[in-house]
Amino acid sequence: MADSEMKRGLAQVMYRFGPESLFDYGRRGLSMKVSRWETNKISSLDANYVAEQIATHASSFRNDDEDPWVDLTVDDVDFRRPNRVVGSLYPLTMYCQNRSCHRVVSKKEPSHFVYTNGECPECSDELRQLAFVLVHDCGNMMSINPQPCSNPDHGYDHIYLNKQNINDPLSWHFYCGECGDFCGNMSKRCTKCHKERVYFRPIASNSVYYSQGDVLVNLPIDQRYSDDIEYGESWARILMAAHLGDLDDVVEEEGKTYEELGRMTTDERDAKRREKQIEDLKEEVGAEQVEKMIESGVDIEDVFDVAEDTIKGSTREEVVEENRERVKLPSQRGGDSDVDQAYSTLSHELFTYLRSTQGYEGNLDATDGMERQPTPLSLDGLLEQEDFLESNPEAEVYPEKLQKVNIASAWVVDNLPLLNYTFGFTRDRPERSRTDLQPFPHPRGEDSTPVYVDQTPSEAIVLQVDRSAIIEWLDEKGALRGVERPDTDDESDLKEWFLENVDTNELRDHYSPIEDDLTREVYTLLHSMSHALMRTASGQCGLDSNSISEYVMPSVPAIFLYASSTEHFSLGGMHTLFKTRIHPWVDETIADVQQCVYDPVCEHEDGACHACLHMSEVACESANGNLDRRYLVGGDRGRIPAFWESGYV
Amino acid sequence: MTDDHDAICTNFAVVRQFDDLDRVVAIRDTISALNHSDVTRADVDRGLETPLTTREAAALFTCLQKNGAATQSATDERGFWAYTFEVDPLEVDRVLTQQAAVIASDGRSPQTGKDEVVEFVATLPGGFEPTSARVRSIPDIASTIRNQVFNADSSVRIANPYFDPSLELVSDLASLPRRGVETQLLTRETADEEGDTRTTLNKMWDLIDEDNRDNFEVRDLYRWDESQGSQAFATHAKIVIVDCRVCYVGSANLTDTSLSTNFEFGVVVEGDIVEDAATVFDEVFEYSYPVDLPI
Repeated sequence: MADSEMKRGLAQVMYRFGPESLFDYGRRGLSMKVSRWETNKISSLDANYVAEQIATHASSFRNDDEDPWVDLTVDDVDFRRPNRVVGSLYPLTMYCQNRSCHRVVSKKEPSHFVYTNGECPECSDELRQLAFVLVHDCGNMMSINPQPCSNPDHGYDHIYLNKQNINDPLSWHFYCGECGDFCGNMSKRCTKCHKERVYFRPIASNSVYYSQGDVLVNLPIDQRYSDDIEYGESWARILMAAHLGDLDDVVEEEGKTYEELGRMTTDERDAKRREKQIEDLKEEVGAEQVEKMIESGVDIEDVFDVAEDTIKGSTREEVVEENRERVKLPSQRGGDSDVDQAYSTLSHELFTYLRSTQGYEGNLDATDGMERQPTPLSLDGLLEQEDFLESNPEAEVYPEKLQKVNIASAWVVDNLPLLNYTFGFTRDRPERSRTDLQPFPHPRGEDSTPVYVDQTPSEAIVLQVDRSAIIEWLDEKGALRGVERPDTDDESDLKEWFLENVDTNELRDHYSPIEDDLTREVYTLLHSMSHALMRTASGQCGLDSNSISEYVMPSVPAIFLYASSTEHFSLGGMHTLFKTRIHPWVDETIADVQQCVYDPVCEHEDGACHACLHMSEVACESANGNLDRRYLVGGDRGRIPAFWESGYV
Repeated sequence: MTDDHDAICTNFAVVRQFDDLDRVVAIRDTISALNHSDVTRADVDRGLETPLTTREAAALFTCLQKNGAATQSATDERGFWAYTFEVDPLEVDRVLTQQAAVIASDGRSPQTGKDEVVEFVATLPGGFEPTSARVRSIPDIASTIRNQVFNADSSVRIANPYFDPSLELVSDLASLPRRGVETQLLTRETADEEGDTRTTLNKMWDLIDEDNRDNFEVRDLYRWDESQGSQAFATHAKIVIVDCRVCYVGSANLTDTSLSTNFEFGVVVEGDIVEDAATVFDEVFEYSYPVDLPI
């Protein structure tokens, strides 16, 4: 068959044309399987964080204890971007469309059909693909092929398809035209796991292939230093120091970016590279051999360039040490073995927040590869623009309006980098717990697990929630028992309190309950706010409600509402909302959460249901868990105070 | 509301928006003459020769609110300018008298038009790395159109032959009629059952709530000459005109490729000359075939 091309957008390819998926090639009236993707390697992403997200996703599948998902780390993952999809004919069973014939032709390779010329060897009528496949929840997909006739002289030479009951494919079967021998039907035992018999599915059925992936905010790290940054505690503490304002002078006076501050010293970097080199050598010649060489004083020659630059001014160690003295994370205090996870989650949260609200602190023009930096515009900054106030006079009341729902600061962010990624697929069932997650075959045959990514710019509204208002509300609710209150007049002290009391490790797996009471209270409050605002935002800015996603940052505390489109262009629904629709957005949100059509049942039960706070699975970051309208408007016979005022501004 | 009837205004939104002293005085007198304290834009319009624009209404109520002369008493989904406010007539008198005094002291008279501004805009081709700062700094068409659109106050005229039925683009445009902006769209080949234009228009229609569908009018300019077996005429213009104030004219269609990866070029014009563009658009729009939605 001759090669043919068709064009599709990358977003569509990521969801609908994944490796091992089926698609219709309408122009030729054929069904095909994606046999491979041609790809480029991608490195400009927060690989540690994305790998952790994939590991978290993988943990909810049935085969989470099997390779490659068990103990998956960033070293096991290869991030790539697809640029071409290659498909081949599938399934490989055809039959004659002449009703009085139905001769079957089945081949092992698509190219073998070339010799048939698409014609029935019996009557020369047109051959047509059998439009069914067999799929199993272990991830296996099989073509429906006939068995050979039990008479060896007949073999495959006279196989026909019996479609007598045309509306019941379950009754269809293959038979030998010479002797009538039964040669198989529309089911067979799974050839991969051999566990059970599998029945046919139409090739266009959703259950043939479920792409598994996600979209997240993913800011680029300066490529000049990304390999030299000491990630983990060190990087998290640099960002915590920046968030607390402790780096303002360093950034201002020394002109350093967070990446520059986060770099290892030359000695550390050299030691780390030497360590890796020795590890590689051990793999190559054996650990014992290397140990012997080292013991006998053999100099293992460096094969890497020693860094020539030295780091001047404030050092990472100083910043980290100072921050270590100042901030003790909940996971440190509890002797949590997963403290590294807390650093990683917190780093991602703070890095995203800082760059999305303050912009890039370095020189954008002098830094290659940083054009994907978000460009924030603060409400305060907008209110200083004469022409903006002229075209939106009511904007002068926006700060008071937002304060009604305890939003202290707000930004609209352009060029917010989103990462749309897909890490595997499942078949047969949508439920994760009942299916095996299949990794994609590596396009170059390497050992690592390929993860396909597409980076797209989007737009967002960032809302920083009034920290002192949260403290007062927690206190009134009785949630601060045994916890020291911060100085609510000191913004730096308030920021520190949230870092020290919100346990990010509790929020890593959004499918598990939050056990820490204080973290649960703060997260539920912010998450409920986020949903209430998301539900009304779509009506105000024209974006479909499924096109807005959330990223709740309880450690800040802030809410990100972003257009989760994977298109490579956005006309600015979030901008419209931020610049022209704050009044009706906030007022409608306040009015909306006051009651639910299922009250009093909803109010007495959970304070959240599909009619009031729930959103679609794609919009919500935590499967509609930890939501309660009563946190915002008060309830439970006065036991839950209202976080929002209900009167008008 | 304030009890200090001698307080000096701290907000001058009315001064920023109005340059006609008599108009501000007329608004003040209209509100003072009302026999009820709940005031809407429509109440004020009844006392004026020329009704308030959306921006004027927003500026008026912002100014009264910020200076303690009004409080919001009812909302309206159309936006702030349509809200109801409870006013204190004495306070309204104080605030608007002060605003009028500032306008008078500025010696302003109604403006008859601003200087024209012309700016080039472009979409640069995918993968292209500009070498000169001049090329790097040229505004991109997508952002320009977006800024124009979300600053729309009362009307948007769009001429565009081809669309992507991308939900995002469609929903962004659909937000215009939803927020009360009169939106006119001139396109082509809406009769093509398989075409993206039909899909796009129907999606937009679905996204606009019933109350605001009157704000959205579509016309089709495409004629096929059966005798010649070829196209007789059609629209191929790409124009976005906002409020008769600002106009984009260029090569880009409202499609993903035109706004992200193609090389496209255009110009943005502000000033009185935009009225000429609007006049041409209106006449051609009138000449075109009305399209009943959904198709």
